[in-house]
Amino acid sequence: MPAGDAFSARQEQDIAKAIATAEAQTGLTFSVYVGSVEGDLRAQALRLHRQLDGADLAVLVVVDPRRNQLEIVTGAEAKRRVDDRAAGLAAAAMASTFALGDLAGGIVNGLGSLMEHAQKATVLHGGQP
Amino acid sequence: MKTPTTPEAVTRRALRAATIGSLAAVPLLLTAPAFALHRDAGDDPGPGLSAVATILIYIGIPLAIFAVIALLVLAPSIARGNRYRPHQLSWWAAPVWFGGPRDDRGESAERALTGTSLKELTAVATVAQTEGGASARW
Repeated sequence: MPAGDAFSARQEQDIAKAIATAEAQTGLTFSVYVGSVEGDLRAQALRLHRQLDGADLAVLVVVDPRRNQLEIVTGAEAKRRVDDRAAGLAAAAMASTFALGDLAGGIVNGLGSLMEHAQKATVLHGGQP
Repeated sequence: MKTPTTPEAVTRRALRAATIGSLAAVPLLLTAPAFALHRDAGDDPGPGLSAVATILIYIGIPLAIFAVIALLVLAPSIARGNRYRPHQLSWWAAPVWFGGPRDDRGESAERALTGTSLKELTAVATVAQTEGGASARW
């Protein structure tokens, strides 16, 4: 029974900004779904991920506040940049902030964590023979 | 507790009782003049308060103060509306999809989660190997 919005305008701005920053830094696309999900969360998250434009490069975060569960799905190409270990770290960071009751803050933190791990490691002395 | 019976103990108890009693009596004795019905020249007590006025002043005003303070405390959270609390296992808000599919705005999120057929779910489960990711609960 929907009643009221999940986030204030300010929180929505913060999340949109975190997404924009992460996309600009990494070249991947990020999207965040917050809502209660029926059925198997992983399967539903994959379903949502398929609907994204350019799903291969997309990272989707699905947060189900009713079941206290979250799922990160990385596309085939995005998986090479954000491996499952990095995704696990981001998921744990988000879950620990969510457990304190801060949904928006957890999402922003998690996106930051994903962004940091997705940044290409700089190749040192790449130009030298 | 056993009551002491030796004479010394009885005396000590009596002294202790007398000390405490006198300490309590001193303030009462000091306020004794307040009970005196004594009129000075020129004082004007006026008519007494009626029952309604007494109730209004001594019960109504404190209640009003309580109400104002309670309102001041509760107002911010009422204005902010529902907020997420972990572990209450309910969720009131409509789904939000940040950065979702671009074509139709907002509506796509809700449509996405209704009417999932079993066939689609199993199909997803079999092809699921290309995607990576992680999950967590709290």
